[in-house]
Amino acid sequence: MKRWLQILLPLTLLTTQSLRGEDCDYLAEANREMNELHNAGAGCEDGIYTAISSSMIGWGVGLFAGIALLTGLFNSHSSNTDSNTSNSTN
Amino acid sequence: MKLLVPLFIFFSSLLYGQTYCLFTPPPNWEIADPKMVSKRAIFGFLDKSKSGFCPSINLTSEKVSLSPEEYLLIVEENCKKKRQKWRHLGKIQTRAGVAELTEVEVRTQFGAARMMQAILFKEGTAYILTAGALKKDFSKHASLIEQAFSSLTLSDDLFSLVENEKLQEKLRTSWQKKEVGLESKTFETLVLKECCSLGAPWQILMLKL
Repeated sequence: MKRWLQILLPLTLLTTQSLRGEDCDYLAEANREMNELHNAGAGCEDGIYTAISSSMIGWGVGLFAGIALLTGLFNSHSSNTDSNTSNSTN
Repeated sequence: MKLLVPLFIFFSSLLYGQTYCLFTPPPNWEIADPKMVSKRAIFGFLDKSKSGFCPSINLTSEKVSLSPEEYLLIVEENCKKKRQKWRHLGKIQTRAGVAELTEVEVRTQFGAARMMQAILFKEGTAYILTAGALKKDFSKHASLIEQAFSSLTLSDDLFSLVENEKLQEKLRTSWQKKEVGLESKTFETLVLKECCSLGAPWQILMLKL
């Protein structure tokens, strides 16, 4: 009986170990598939996100250029006014 | 010279292992700032001549193990969750093959915007070309966008896209010299000045080699 048990024990250990390995592979595969499914369509979403953000940033750049232009005009106008005022006082 | 041959074979093997996706953007559209595009975006272009919401086009890619039908169903579902109107318009012929054509309506601060996508499925990857403009202006850009979609190309060898054989050879030689560390100026000059007709996406990819 003891001898049978000595043979059976390592055999059982070996078989369950290999089964456990297969289970792990199966779980990893299922996990990978779940992740892929969960992330599917991200390329399309990123495309839309990029299209909106780049369009908005283009608008932002235009707005910034407009503000810079207005500021420049305002500064040059005020400096002209200052020089005119100082000339008239002299 | 003896050293150059094995080095060329080595670098060529690295080069041919990758598939490059490119397209020709509408003329005079400028390249978008690479810092602001999302991580899957390869490159983007926009028409800065317009005020407000600028029309734009960008290329993204994604590894896909699903069938095109399953993938499109998921995209539709994702859009529904965001309350965006999604439509499958049919198919479009590109240089790289037949792509799926879809449309999404998105609300922005400037009003409703229309996003059109050409999705090409090739060897486990989805290449997505997205063009966007305000809904009311979209028809003005439709033909330019269609041309850009049709120009979608896949290539394993960027050099082979240069039709002029002498120029192609010059490019390969200068690239080998750049890879060995001899000099890179000639390669950059050739790409930027003599290959303008191949378009900005090709030039960007070549300079990244």
